[in-house]
Amino acid sequence: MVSAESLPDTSFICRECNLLVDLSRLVDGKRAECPRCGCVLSVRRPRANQRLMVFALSGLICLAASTVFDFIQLSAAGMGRELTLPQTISVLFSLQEWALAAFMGVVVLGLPFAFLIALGSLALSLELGRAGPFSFVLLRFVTFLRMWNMAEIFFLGILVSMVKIADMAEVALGPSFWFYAMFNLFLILALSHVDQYQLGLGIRRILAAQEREREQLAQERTA
Amino acid sequence: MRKQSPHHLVGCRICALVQNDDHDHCSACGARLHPRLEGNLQRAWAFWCTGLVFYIPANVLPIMRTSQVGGTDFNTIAGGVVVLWEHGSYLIAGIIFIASLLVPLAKFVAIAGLAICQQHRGLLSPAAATLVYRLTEFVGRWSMVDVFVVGFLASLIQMGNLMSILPGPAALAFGGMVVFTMLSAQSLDPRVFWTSPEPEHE
Repeated sequence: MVSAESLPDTSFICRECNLLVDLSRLVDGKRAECPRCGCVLSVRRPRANQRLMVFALSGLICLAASTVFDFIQLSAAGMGRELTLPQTISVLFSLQEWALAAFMGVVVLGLPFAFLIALGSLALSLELGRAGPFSFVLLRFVTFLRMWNMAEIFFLGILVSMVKIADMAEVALGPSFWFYAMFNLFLILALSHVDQYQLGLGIRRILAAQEREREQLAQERTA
Repeated sequence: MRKQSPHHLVGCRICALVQNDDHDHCSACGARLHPRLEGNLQRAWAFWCTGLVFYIPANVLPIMRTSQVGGTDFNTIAGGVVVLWEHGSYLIAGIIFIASLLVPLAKFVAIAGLAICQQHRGLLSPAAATLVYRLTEFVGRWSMVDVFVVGFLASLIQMGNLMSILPGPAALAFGGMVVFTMLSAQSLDPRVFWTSPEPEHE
């Protein structure tokens, strides 16, 4: 029977087939696949934390900008209509479609904002070498939000809607649409760089180093 | 509850720490540990049934109400696909047909199949079951596209008597169906398919 204490900190258990593997030989730019079930265990990207910070910050800026300007302009039979992204949700509220409006608000704006802020601050804290119990809270938050993220599906929904109405009205895209498209690009890039093993290992190594430092200090004091 | 992992070890789903499975919470991050849980199967079936209950109104009731000068049209999901097809938007009709009709149905079948395989091992090879699981997990969210289309069109097309679109009751039912089948798929555990794990070092 192997005890967890005797294993290197690069040990990992495949989340799909429970195989115990050692990822100590995983080098920058390579990915590790499970030798038994073939699922991707971890991808080690060079400067992953810096990239995460860039994607999260760029995504946040684009998302914030996409709420400010016109999202879409519609004209049909001499009537025009302009909408910003928050208005697409507030109109649903005014139509008293509470549940649909709340769902769209959360998925389109709320979740992505929370996800990118949590991910960006986690990557920043790892990059600075400062981790604490809060890092694990952020990691849990990131894991949960990643599971329920649907921003890119909303984007596909917009594209489908525009094709649907193309023959009854004239549609023009505002700057916000392009900001939201760019936000989606950065979100997908950020999502592809989230690696449970690398992030968890990063936090645990920083915490272990802090622990060693404290012990050393205590020893020096007693000596 | 049966715990079984290589040499009584368990990996944290949040911070990936490998640890002895003699405690309920991760010793590093405090998240709940998930040694193999047979009880998840019950959760999976419960969410599956809830999803199925939502599936019926989602397909029978109208998902969209279109009011024009001539009167009000009620469109079900299947009706919407037919209209798009007749208009010649084959690509969009295809996307909606796959995302809204084919995928949910396939998902119900896949989740039920996986749940049955968890009870009766050997019906599917571990590799095949894991592949089905991965597909089910990946595809789940994309069914939501029709709900977003309805929500977006409803907020966009509000031009008084000329034309207005309102979401129908099926929109919420459909969204509920997607959420509950996602929860059901998340309750399945592919590790169950792989018996007698062996440690391996690369």
